[in-house]
Amino acid sequence: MIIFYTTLLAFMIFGIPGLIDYIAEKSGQPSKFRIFKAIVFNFPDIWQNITFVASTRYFIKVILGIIVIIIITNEFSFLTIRSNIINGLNRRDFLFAKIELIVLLTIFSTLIIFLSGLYLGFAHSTSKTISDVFGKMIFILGYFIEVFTFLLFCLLLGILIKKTGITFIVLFVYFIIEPILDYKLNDSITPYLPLKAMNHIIQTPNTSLIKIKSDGFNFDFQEAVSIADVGICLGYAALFIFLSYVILKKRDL
Amino acid sequence: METVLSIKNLNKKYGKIHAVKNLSFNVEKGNVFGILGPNGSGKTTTLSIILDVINAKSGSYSWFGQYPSKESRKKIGAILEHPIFYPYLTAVKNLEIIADIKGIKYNDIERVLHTVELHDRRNSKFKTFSYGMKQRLAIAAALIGKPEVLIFDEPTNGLDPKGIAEIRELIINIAAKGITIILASHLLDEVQKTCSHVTVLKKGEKLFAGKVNDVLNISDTIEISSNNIDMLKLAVKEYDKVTDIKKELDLLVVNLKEGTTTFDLNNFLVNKGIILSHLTVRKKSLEQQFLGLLTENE
Repeated sequence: MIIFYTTLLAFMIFGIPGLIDYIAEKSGQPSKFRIFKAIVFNFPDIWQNITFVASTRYFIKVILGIIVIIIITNEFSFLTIRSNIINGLNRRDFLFAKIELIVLLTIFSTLIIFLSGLYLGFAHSTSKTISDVFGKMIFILGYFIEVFTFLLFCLLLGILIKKTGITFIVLFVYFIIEPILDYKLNDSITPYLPLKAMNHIIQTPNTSLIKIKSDGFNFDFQEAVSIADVGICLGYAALFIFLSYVILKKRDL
Repeated sequence: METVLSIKNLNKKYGKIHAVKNLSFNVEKGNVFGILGPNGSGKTTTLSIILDVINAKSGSYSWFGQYPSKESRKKIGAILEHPIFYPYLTAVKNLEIIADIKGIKYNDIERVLHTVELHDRRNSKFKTFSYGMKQRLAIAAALIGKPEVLIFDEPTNGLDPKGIAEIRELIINIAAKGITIILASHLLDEVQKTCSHVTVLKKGEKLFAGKVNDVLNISDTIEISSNNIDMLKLAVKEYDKVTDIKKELDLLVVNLKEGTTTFDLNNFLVNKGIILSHLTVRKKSLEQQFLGLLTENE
């Protein structure tokens, strides 16, 4: 599963330049797309572009979520959580072991994104100055926090529901419900919806391309990760851990 | 005697069902302690509570005289119901996880695999094992790190006669080393053959507790017969140490008061001028005791 994720991610990241080349040749206007390519992979914007692609709501971030859900629900369906407790873990140790795993998965995923970004940037970027390379690297940290919180959300669902299949269904149904809630609810509440809060850390990138195209429009695009977004997200992370702990503590295994 | 496990007024409810009712007992060091009861009598629930897998509604328990903690659980080897392992990992990997949790070095794994004769299959995945092998791996897991207490919940469940015999022998061997064993079973024969002490549970309540030998020795029944069975019956009725007389074909089945032996009865009858043609002590097996206990409390 992890290998699948890595391959898919690598394929996407490294496939994009190829895809752009392919479209460019087919379109008969290769020069326009060459410009697009150079812009997308330009330092420092590449950090936002690449983390956005890797973390969009229904995208491959979900694969990591599936991994976490399988790992946690397997503990319940194989009853191995029971034997782990019997053998001398307490419930807190058990939860922390799973959180540790999530941290590792997140680091792993972040590292792939980071290395891919470096590689693609150096391969395609027009500007390679140090300040540009490190310019928007804060998005990598944003990506880490977003994925970490999302995986904690999956962990909580898994602990709550215990059954692998049903957890998936609930997760995907929630993917549909939250945008509906988002639409129905007052705008003052919606930024606090968990998935929205996570996704808000890295918003649709303002590539220079869009800037060119939308000349004259004054879109308010995101330039840096906002502290408030990170705060909401970390708040959720803490809440998910706390709820997971309470459920585990109270439950008969 | 050092108390290994002490349970006080334990209660557990599943909805309306009172799975464990005010249960108290002590297990002393070196005991082979049997928890006997029919299915659904609360054996596994009780063991789950003392292993912190299930939260009790009320009551308390202590291990080694201390408040239960993960450290106390590390000194216990336990099998609860079915063998539980990660199916996609090998036997050795599964045991390594347990060794890691208990903080034991990996070289103990070789020893326990030899003990249960699974060493040849150590690198096979758990899901490829037969039920007997899974059960033996569970015993291996319980033996890791030479625990002070072993808990077996229906250890011979689902095994063939050879497997049952092997596991009983293993339990007896372990007990001989002075390790405390708590054994839950619905098989009386198993408890009778392996345990030194027994607690009988029914619907979560303790019916009886004591040494297995004590249970076996209370009020044996005696079969007697003579050439004139009716005269014999009249004579026996006069004997004041008799508690119960039943006629079975050409036999009389007699229960005597505690402390009265067949010698006393025979002596009495000879004095009455009756010569017995048949006299045997029918040892009441634990099974009959057990069924008797269950019906008495109906």
